Formats: sequence, structure tokens, C-alpha cells
Amino acid sequence: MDLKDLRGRLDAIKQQSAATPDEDSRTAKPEQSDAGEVLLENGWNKVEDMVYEKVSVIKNALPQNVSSILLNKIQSPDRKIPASDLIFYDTETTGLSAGAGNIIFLAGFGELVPGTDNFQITQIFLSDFPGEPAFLDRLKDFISPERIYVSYNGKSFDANVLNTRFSMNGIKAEFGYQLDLLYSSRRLWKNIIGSCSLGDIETRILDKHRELDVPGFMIPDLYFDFVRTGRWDTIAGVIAHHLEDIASLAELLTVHEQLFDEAAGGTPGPGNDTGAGTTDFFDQLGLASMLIEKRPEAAVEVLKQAWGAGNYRAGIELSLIFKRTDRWEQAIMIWEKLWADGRSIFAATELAKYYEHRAHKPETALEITEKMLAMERFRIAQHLPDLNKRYGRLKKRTSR
Amino acid sequence: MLSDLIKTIKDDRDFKRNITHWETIAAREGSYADFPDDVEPVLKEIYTGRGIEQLYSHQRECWDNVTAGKNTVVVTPTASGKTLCYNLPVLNDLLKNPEARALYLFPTKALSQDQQSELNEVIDTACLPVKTVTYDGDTPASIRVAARDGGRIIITNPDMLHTGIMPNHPKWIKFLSNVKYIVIDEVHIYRGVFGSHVTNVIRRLRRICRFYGSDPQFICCSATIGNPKELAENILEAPVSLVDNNGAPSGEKHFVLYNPPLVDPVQGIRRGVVLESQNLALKFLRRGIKTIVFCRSRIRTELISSYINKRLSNIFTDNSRIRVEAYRGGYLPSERRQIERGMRDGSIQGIVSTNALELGIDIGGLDASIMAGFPGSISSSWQQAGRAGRRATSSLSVLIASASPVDQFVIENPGYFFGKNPESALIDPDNIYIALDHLRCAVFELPFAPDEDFGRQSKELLMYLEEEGVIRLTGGKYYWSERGYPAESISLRSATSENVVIIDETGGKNIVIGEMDRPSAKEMIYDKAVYIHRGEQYQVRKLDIDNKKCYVAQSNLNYYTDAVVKTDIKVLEEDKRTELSGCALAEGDVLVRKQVAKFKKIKYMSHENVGFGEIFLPEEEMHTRSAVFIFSEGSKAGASFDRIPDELKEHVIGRIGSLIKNVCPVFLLCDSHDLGVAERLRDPHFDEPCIYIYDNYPGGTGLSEGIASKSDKILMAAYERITNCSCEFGCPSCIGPDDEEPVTHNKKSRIITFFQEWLGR
Repeated sequence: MDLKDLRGRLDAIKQQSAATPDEDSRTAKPEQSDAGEVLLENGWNKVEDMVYEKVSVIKNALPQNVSSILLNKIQSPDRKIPASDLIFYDTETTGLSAGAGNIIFLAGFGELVPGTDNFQITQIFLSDFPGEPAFLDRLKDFISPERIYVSYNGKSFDANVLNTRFSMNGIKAEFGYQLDLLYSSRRLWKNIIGSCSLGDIETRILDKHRELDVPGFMIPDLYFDFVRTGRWDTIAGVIAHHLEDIASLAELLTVHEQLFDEAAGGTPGPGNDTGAGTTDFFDQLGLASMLIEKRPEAAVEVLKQAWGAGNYRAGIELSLIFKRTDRWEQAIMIWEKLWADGRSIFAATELAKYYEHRAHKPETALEITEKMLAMERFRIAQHLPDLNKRYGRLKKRTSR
Repeated sequence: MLSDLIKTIKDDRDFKRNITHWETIAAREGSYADFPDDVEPVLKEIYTGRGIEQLYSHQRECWDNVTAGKNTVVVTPTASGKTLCYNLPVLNDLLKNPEARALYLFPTKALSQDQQSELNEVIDTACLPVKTVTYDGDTPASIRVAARDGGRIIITNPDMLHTGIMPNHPKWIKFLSNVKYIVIDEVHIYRGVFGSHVTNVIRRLRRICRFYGSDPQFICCSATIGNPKELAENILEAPVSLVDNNGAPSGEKHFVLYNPPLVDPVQGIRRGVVLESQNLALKFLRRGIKTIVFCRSRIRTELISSYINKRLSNIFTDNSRIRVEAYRGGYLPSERRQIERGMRDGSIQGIVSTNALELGIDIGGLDASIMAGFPGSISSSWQQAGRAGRRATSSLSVLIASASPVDQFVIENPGYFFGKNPESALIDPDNIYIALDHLRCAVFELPFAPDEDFGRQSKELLMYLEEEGVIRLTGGKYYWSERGYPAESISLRSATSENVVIIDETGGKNIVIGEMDRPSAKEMIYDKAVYIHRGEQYQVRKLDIDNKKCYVAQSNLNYYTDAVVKTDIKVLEEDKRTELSGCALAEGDVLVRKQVAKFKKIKYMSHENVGFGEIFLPEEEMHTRSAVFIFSEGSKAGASFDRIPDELKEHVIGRIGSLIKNVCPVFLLCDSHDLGVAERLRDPHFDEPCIYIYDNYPGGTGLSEGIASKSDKILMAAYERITNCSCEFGCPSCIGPDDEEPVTHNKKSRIITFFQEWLGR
């Protein structure tokens, strides 16, 4: 077997792709001792071979109770639930995709200690691969079908990888409800800030600026460096980053709560002065869509404000709610306004439908339809057949 | 009906004149066996209900082998009840053991779909609790979870197994811990580099199964090739028992070699294959004979089928009530299903196909097959001929020669064709490039113990990967220690799986009518090209290669288009040069570029060239490895080559190139398609006459290195092949047939002399 040729060949390929390997990490020989020993000097405890743990506490990170707006699916609308039912979690992995070779090396769980203001984060670290079964065994203590799992993109990534690791190691563990703040954050802020990575949410929404943070994409390589070299400086940043992520989760949930509370109290919206600069910056339609099911009146208030400020999509949403709940007068007011501005084929159609079927004033409906037909911008292929059909029908009815 | 026809054409003087050989293969009685006693009654009932009262002896033999726990390979001609060979024992066991699962592997998606519908028919008859799911790139995400958890038979392809299933095996725990059977159909497709990859895929699959405590048994099916048992054993790396006593009856079979008549005896020009094959097909179809025509290209498939339809067209008789369809890759799955169904239920009488129908897609029985040109290999010829033939009645296969030297040789030397064994399939799973790639995937999938068995050189390869920092030895095992997902960047096949979608925009429509792989798209559906799809003519408005879309509109032109493809090789880096005895050998990276710069407009029917058009498309590039034999100045080969008369030089070097390429597979354990060859009288890079033999896989798979290290043996084998060949002027087995008629220079003897001087014999 000509290993030499193969090596030469692969090296040649490497040079071509101009990738310069990190000399430092390539020359360092793997240590036979447990790289994790260095964690002991930095405030960590060893719980098993290659498994380390550290508890950090943050004061006043969370309100004692949280509303159930985000838990529509599992909670009744009117009850607040104790924040201590929630468990905030995040993992760091050796790869960025799923798959059997992607391993979790750092997991953290944040909980509000009942009866206190202490938000307690337990970080668990795997210092090398063979310790994985013991590591997962320890993680399993935090997994229970009874609890609610708060994460950022955990529903489709972290929980998935955790389940993969558990099943590969023959460990049975069942999560409770996944409350993934990525989805609600997208509804609240995507239209405003675009990207909704946790980093963007931190700087734009939480007004939180990390200094010397480790970029997420470097994390796998830093970990591989750590297991090879056992140097604290390779991994310290990753551990700090991870702790910060979980703290941000708590803050992010708190911001959600403020928004919901203010909406319920009828005073949310741009210009309101909460001082923090955080809750005055959100997509009103997104907030309303979250509120609509369990707090419909709060949703209406949010939409009214937006409509009042000239948001015409909010007007449409609002009119639909009014229509559904038989508040025709208010719905018509909105449609009339939109129609008067000549802006909305939707509003005109709704009005025509209203006058034809509900108010039984076919003449008015015909008038509107005729106006619509006369307007070039409404005469587009998609709408024309319906429009013509309505026109024909109304014409017949009014001439009878 | 067919016997009448056979009589007629035998007596037809015009036809007879062109026949160079008429081989009659006697009818064979079927050999039957009873259903086994221990088969589940419901299964027996289903099959009896489908008209199967008894098994063929080979189906029973397969059952006996499988139930005895043996890995089995069944060699099956077309229409011999192949699927029952594996479906019966598998379904039977799945019914007996509610937990048991089975994995079916097919080389193409079309075959998977075919198998899915066939299984559905069996399963639905009695609502058997055997959920069968096709799991491939087309499976919607919404049903994947249910497929993984509830599927008892999963139908997929090796590529999906490699990139989708195995790297995510924890999601498949339920399936993989219970998988009892793995069916590999069309195993003869897994030859050469592709077969070497698939062997490694099976190694990985076995490892994962072991991890979950299962030890599946394998059932393979193969077309007739030279070494089915050996191939299956090489792929499975386990003993395999062979079932090749076909018990299916067959009628008398007539195999006719047909050479189109000379239209210009002075210049030796013969009537073309396109015309001859449609004439014959029409003759057959008009007599009510179900006929298939095999063509060598997609364009020809469409041309011949539309010519036939045109000549049949008559609104008063509804085209004489004969329906003829084209069939090829690139049709929508629903269209293919529709055509297959039409063939089976008899509503379609004639079909014109590429080799897509060479594989086991079920289209029912046919009476006649016509090969418009030699399919390129003996085993393909028999596969295609096998499409015609029913159990009780006789069948006819006609091979029509094209003007190419190989076709002309085959047609003029029936002894060569009928006496030669089908080609053997070779693989080299321990090829270090391929094995290394899959070892990376294997470590990603499960930590690797140093003493685990994974090919001959796994220990060294593991050390190598450890030194590269890709894997890490700790606690007695190697662990994957890179962020990547290795399977993603490793392709089992040379061809890209990227497809261009063809969209019909006629009159504001926006409908997908077909698809085509990217390299072919550049050669077939460039801007202004004529694209024929099931007889409908379209012209390409815009090929958007970046977005993988091609917009076409219906057209009514009197010509079709044919691109002129130029291939060229550029040396990127020469990294080694060795002085052999008699010539120099260079190794290095090369860029093989295919450029389509213009196209010809060819008038329908007359096939005269009525103009040109230009094509503006980026070249299709492949970066690969090549070995280069250089007849350098002062070397023995160089000196000898110099002495060859100038007008013969090009012929000589071209033939030597093909000869060397043709002997390589035996030494490299690859397929001849895995290699490419290019000969240069004076190469711009080396400035000498030279022969490139390059690896046909992007990036290279070590074949060119193999050529370099075995060059002495390869050259000697080439010399022996030509000297031992009994032909006079060259044949497909050595340097290729001569294209001169009559032969004025004996190139064969000139090449032998050259070799003698080169190698000092």
C-alpha cells in the first residue's frame, strides 16, 4: 500500500485549494491525560471521567410568572405559569449539521430556583469522546416530559441532536413541550431587522453587546483544538459564549412577556415610553397574530394602533376580525377608508359583497363594482372573471 | 403471426440479401416447482389469483437458498419472474415476523418506482400489513418520518443510502435493528468505480447493522454477465450461492444480424440505421407484432418514433390503430408510468427506447426487438434482445449495423458475436481513494475500533486520517473529529445528479415537461436547439444553466439540431515523470473540457445539413488525473514512431490508445467507462506524440496511478492482445476494426512492429 503517494497527492490537492492548515494544532500531539483537568482550575467540578460541570447564578433574570401566550398549545389562556416550570437550554456541537458524527460537547440548562430570584445555569462539559455515555447520562437528569423547554432553534436542532445522541447510546429520554423562541422572534422582528440570529436579536432587540465573543462557526474547531492541546484559552471563550446564550434566552423571554403584558394593558406600540428601548420596536402584525387566539381584544388594540398610524395591512387584518365577530360597522369603516384611498381591491370586494348579501342594497354594490371595472388597476386577469361575474349578477338583480 | 412474418422475411429476397447471420435458438420447456409448503397461505392465494399456480424452478431454488439462510444471487433473463424470486421469501418472512424489515436497493429512481407499484399490487390485494415506502431524493419531507418508523420495506438507491440514510442512522434505529433482508437488484450495474463505491457502502451498512444487533441476509439479481457469482461475492464480501438455472419457458428465438444495403457501392455508403430500423419496425407493426426499437441516443429515439408515427398517420384509420411511443430518461415519472402501463395492457404496440428499457422495468411481453446499431457490449445486446420473447410463442431480434467499424465488424463476424462470452464485471473496493472516502463516512457514522474489518488497508488509512487530524484515537477508538459531514462531498457516480428542468412556455404556459442532467443539457438543449419530447417538437428559448432551467416553446421547424462537441485536454500540473523502458510516463492533474460551440441543423427524413448555429455556453469541465505515455525523442517508442509513414501516424496512435485503454480494466479492476483516452500526434504541453489515459471520475480515483505502477504489465498485455488476436486487420477485441474498405495498409501489422520496437521484443 502506497501511503506515501496518497499523502503526497492529498497534500497537493490541499495546496491547490490554498487552504493553509493551522500549524499549531497540527503539530501538537494528543495528550494522553484528560484535557478536562484544566477546567478544575477554572471553577468547574468533575462529576465523572471526562464529564465536568459548573453552576452559575444570575439574579432577577426572569419574572416569577410567565403568561401563556407562547404556550397556547398546551396551556389554558388565563393562567400564568410559574417560571420555574421552564427550563432554558442550549448545546454546542462538533459539527454544524445533523448526523451520527456530530457530537454534543457542552450543554447548559437554566432554571429559576423556586422561591428565589436566582436563575441558575448548569453547564455540563464533555472533555473527550469516550466520556459521552456518562455525559449523556448526566444530561438526562434535565430531560423530563413534564417540563417546558425554552430554546433558540432548539426544536429543530438541539433537541434533534440530543435525541440522536441518546438513541445511539441506548438512553431513553423524553422532552416536554418545546418552546422555541426563534419562531416567535421571527414573527415579532423579522420584518424589521431581517436576520433573526440570536446575535442579531441581542444587538438589535436586547441591546446587549458582547465583547470578545467567539463566532459560532469557529466553535467546533476550537473544541477540537482543546481536546488536542488541553489549553484553557482554546475553550474558555466557547464556555462563556454558551453561558451568555442561555442568559440571553431568559432575557428574550422577558421581552416577549413585556410585550404581551403591555398589549393586554392596552399601551403597546411605537412611541410608548418603556425606557428600555426594547419593546417599542416590533412588528405589530406579528404580535397581533400571536395574541389573536388567546387574547383577541389585545390583538385588536395592537392592530387599531397600527391602523391608526397608517399601517394598511393592519387595517385589513382588523377588518377581517371585525367581520368574523359580526362588528360590521367597524369593518365597513375600514373598508370605506381603504376604498376611498383607492388602494385596495380587497376592501372594494368586501364592500360589494357586504352590500349585496348582507345589507341587500344591490344598487350600492353595483355602483362599487362598476367603479372597480372602470379602474385600470383592478382590471387584472386574476380578478377580472370574478368581477365580471359579480357585475353581471348585480346588473340582472337591479334591472328586475 | 410472428411465424408468418419470419417465413415471409426469410423468403424476401431483398431482405435476405442483407442478412449476414440467422441464429435460431430452440424453444425451451419451462421447468416448474410447487409453492413451498411453508409459504404463508395468503401469499400463495395472492399469487395464484394473479395466475401463478406454480413457481419456476429457479424461483423455488432461490426460495430454498434464502430460507436456508444463504446469501443468494439470481441470474435472470428478462421476463423470467425475477421480482418474485425475492418478493416471495421476503414478504413471507415479513408476514411471519411482524418486526422484520427489508431494504431494497435499485440503481435508479425509475426502477424503485416500478418496484413500488408492483409491490403495492401484491400487498393491496390482501391488505398485507407490510408498509412499503420509496425513500429517495424525491420523497417529500412530510412523509419521511412515517417512512422511517413505519416502513417495513424501504425502497431506495445506493446514493440515498450513502448520503441520506446511513449518516443519520440513529433516526433509523427501528428499521435498522430489525432489517432482515437486503435486496440488491440489477447488481451487474455495480461494476468498476461505481461498484467499488457500492461495495464500501455495503461495508458501512453492515457495520451499522451490527451496531444495532441485526445481521441481514442478501438477495441479489443480476443480468447475464460473465461472472455474476464472483461479482456478488466481491460486493458483499461474503459467500453467495448462485441460482442460474432459468426455469422460465421460452419460445423459439430468432436472432438476425442485418447489414443495410449499399447505396453507393463505390464509396461504400450504406443505408442508414434510422431509415432501416423504421422500415423494419413498420413492417412488423403493420402485421400486429409488438415491437421495441433500441437506439443509442435520445435524439434518435425521438426521431425514429416520430418517423414511424408519421408514416402510420392516417386520420381515417386512426393510424391503423397502431400506437408507437418513445421512451427514454428525462420524461416525467408519470409519463413513463403511463407508457409502461400502455405497453403492458396492449394499448401501445410499438416502443422506441434508449437503453433505459434494458433494465428490468416491466413492460410486458414483446414479439420483436430491433437494435438500431450495436449496443456496445455483448451483454447489453443480449439484454436488449431479451426484451422480445414470450413464454410460448417465438420471437425475433434484429441487430442492424451502423456504418461504424465496430458495427461492421460485428455484423460481418457472427462467430465473434455469438461465440464471445458476456463481459465480466470487475470492482476494486480497496482502491485507496474510494476506501478512504468511505472510511471517513464510516468513522462519522460510528466510532471505529482499530481492529475492525474494513478492506485490506483500513489500518494504514486510519493512521493516515489520524495524522490529518480528521479522526482522533482516544479511549481505544477512532472518533470523527471534524465539523463536516463527509458523505455530502463524496459522490458514488461520475455523473452529476443535478438536473435541468425543461419548462414549456408555449402561449403563456409554464409547465414542466421533462428534465435532463446538466452535461447532456449543454449538448442537447442549448438556445435555439430543437427538443423533441414524445414526438412533440419544441424549440429552446433560453437555457438558464445557473438556475437549472430550460425554457422551450412548441415549434414546427423542418429540421432538428445536433451539437458538435469538442473535447480537449489541458495539463494543469505534471507532478511526476518516469522513464520507462522505451518511453516516458507522466502523471498529473488534467482538465478535460467539453465544449459545444455550434450546432448543425439537420432536415428531417433526408438528414441533409441545412445550416449551422452558434452555442454560447461555458465548457463542461472535469478536473481529474491522467497517466500519459509520451513517445519522447530518443526513446525507443519515439524513434519507432518516427519511422511510421506520416499518413499512418494518426491511425496508429489512435488505435494504440484504444488498445491500451481496453486492457487496463483487467489490471485496475475497473470498467472501461471509468477511463477516458486521448491521443496526440504532437501534444502542445509535452511537445511529443503521446497518449493520455485519464480517470473519468472528477478528482480521480487512483486509476491513473494504477496505470503508472502497472505500466509494464499493461503494455505487455496490450502487445499480447494484439499479437494473439486471430483477426487479420483489427477487431473490437484488439485495436478496433479497420475503417478502410478495402484495407490498403495493414495497420495491425504496423502496430505490432511498433510495439516490438518499443518494448524491445
